[in-house]
Amino acid sequence: MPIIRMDNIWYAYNRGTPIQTNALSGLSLAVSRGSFVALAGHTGSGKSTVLQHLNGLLLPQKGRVLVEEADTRDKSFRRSLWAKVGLVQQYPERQFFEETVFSEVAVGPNNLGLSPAEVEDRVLEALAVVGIDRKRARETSPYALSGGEQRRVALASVLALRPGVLALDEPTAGIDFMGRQRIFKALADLKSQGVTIIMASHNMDDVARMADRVVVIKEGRALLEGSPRQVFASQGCVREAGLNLPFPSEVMARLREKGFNTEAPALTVDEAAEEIIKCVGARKTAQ
Amino acid sequence: MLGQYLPVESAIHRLDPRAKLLSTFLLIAAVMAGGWAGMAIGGLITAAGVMAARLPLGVLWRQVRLLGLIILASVLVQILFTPGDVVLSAGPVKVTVQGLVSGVTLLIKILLVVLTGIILTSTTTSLRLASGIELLLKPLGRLGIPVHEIVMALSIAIRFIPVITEEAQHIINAQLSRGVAFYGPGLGRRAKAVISLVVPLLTGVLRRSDDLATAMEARCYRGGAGRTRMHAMVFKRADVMCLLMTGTSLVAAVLLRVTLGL
Ligand SMILES: Nc1ncnc2c1ncn2[C@@H]1O[C@H](COP(=O)(O)OP(=O)(O)OP(=O)(O)O)[C@@H](O)[C@H]1O
Ligand SMILES: [Mg+2]
Repeated sequence: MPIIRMDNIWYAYNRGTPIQTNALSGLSLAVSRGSFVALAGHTGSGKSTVLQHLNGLLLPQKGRVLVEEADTRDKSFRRSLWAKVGLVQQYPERQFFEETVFSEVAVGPNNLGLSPAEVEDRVLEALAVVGIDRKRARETSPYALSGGEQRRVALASVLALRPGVLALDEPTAGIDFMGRQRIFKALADLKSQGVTIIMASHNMDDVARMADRVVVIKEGRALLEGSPRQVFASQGCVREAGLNLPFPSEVMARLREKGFNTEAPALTVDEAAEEIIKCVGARKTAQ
Repeated sequence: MLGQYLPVESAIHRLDPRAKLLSTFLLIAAVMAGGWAGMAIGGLITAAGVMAARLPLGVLWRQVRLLGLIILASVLVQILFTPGDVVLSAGPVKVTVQGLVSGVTLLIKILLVVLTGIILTSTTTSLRLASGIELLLKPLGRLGIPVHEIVMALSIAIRFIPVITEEAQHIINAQLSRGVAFYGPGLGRRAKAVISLVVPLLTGVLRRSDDLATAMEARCYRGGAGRTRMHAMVFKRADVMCLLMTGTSLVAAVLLRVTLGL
């Protein structure tokens, strides 16, 4: 049973006005429990709009969204949805309003109505997952942190809800290499704890590295779905959606064009290296 | 959103912003200064304007509805607190003929004024509106009033409205996702919700205005004299006709009221 199902959903911004924009046009997708699904798509393809449907911020104008079999249009269900599906929007560090990092992360658990002791538990746990020092968290304003740290605090402020599903919008946009490593490490830890993760991204290297399912979105529709290996093997489709291949796959594709005898669409640098060594070896023995 | 520009091709969209601004004032003056005749004439011209501007009625209705509460409140005050011949009474509440008449009059006048305003803002980009205001106010520059600077500040403010609206929506979404209660009961929680919006919003606005000031200085912007305009503005036939029509309606409304009491 998929934990999330979207059936043929349609959504247009400013519907019924001359500036109407159709963001989703009959999109369907299913997410199974515990998986890491990447929504890959060009700018404006509708990824953020999809994510906002997951926790009920937006409701489909046609079609339906089911989270654990319950319809998001059901008002009483929607009231508790924010704690079930944790949404981390793009540039989440723009939401800070508390005086310290600690109280910023405590906003969500406090709104759950937990006891102070339990709030503290959750905040410390969330800070540990994203690797922010707890002593510093009590003394520092969130605005005093570096960009990468701010992003991780914003992530922690949603993790403190202990959501079963985590929806992330471009979690590494504008973050340097080390910051990205830390965020991905946190996400991998969460996945191993059984959290279902849905991540919107237009960085195909990130997608290849993290996801076990990829949904390619184009003009508000799911164009292609499968494992990263399957999806990036359909080069034409990926390019049609305005996306590039992950760097290692791109390298292998170029080598193929230049007459290398290789079929494998390498997803990681290690895979690509091995494949190249194999091919070079085969050439040498042939000579 | 109130005052949102609607990019459609229409005769009204093409009018000179100065003509539109002046006509709007003339029309509002006709409605306010005139009696029933003024309202009828104003209503006709407004209806013609809506049609010529090709504004969808649904959009108009949604914008008017945003002001619904204020309009309703002022009309109710007018109806309930005008002394005169009582036609209906329930306890301390008394409705008078005079109250009903002035309430309806007020309702029609407010609606017409709001509609003319909506026609102006839906058919004119903020940039053109600002240029229009600047050119109309230019004579004040001779009195030493820094017209260009004032209008520049005004147009930047107008330009930032959609950006700030979008940012506010983004922040509200982020806070809703953390269970901050923007709707529903509890004064304390609501106050907290307002803070959770205002603090990040102000921080964002300060950052943006700082960026903008740097960008303007980097392009050697200095306001005032000697600046030229990318699109020169010239009055065309349609502009003159528009002004003649609204000007005549003002004169007619006032004359009819003064001479015939209409
Ligand atoms: N608040 C809004 N008002 C009006 N139109 C919007 C709004 N948000 C998104 N859109 C439009 O809806 C379409 C889908 O946008 P969406 O933000 O979902 O795309 P995206 O895939 O997340 O893009 P990006 O990669 O740039 O974040 C785009 O055409 C966009 O311009
Ligand atoms: Mg987006």
